[in-house]
Amino acid sequence: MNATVLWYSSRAVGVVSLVLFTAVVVLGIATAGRASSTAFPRAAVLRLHRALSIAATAFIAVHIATAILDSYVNISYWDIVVPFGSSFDPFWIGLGAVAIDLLIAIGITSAFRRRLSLRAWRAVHLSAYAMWPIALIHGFGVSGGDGQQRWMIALDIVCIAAVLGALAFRLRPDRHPDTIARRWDDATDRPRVSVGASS
Amino acid sequence: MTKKYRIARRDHLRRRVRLTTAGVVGVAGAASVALTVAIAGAAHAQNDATETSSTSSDGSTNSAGTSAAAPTTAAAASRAAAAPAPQVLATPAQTPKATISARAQAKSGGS
Repeated sequence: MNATVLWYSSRAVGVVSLVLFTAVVVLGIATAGRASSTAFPRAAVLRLHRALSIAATAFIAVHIATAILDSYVNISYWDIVVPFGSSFDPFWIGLGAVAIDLLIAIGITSAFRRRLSLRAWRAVHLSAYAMWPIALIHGFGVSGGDGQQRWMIALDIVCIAAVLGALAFRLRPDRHPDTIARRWDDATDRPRVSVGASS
Repeated sequence: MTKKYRIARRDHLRRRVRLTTAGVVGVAGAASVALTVAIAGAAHAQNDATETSSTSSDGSTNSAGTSAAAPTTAAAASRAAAAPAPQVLATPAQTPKATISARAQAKSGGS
């Protein structure tokens, strides 16, 4: 296969992976915030979060494979998981390796979610908040990529705004479902019941 | 609410969630593939334009899009072949000779 095709594919798939992971992070925040609508009940949001995360992981796998197979940039298999050891652009490729390591940890703990305690799973899953910006910075700084292009900077800004907007929605104290339930219980002077308890 | 109604409603909701998710994921997947092809194609076209303008000029690299262009070995070799050979500067040993001969010519022409 032509090396140029692999080079362009790697760059393009990397950009699309960023968009997909942004959607995954936004949906994850929406899931944690118990966001729902008539068209999208909470179960649909959660399902979509899972399905899109699998799709994004597949795109990242293609991004990595094409980067390794490409003959111009010298990236070995180890450089994918061992940060800052690459001969080509070690810092920026290293950031990508850190993001991949976090993604692997999140993926494995999510696959064995039922065998783990909720606390352990959540602790690892929260590292997605670190993985996403690291991946974004990797895309911005890696040489020979599209990170410095105007349209790519605009896309980065849109992605950052989407995640910050979702976080702002999630962290609003009056929007938290527990707060709403507590207020309702206090207002109606009802005893608190756990969710899902049958009367 | 009868048990039969509850089961039917639950199945309906499950089916709706499954269909909604599959539809959105399908659209997102197709859009992702289309976006990948579009970005790769645009970058390829931009690189071709850069390479063409570079080789048609005096061999110097065009500054537009060089950071995003794929560094192809063949293109670099063709640019190197098209570039004019660098001018060899006069060595210090040649300079006095030339100066002397020019002076001698000027002297003979003048006399």
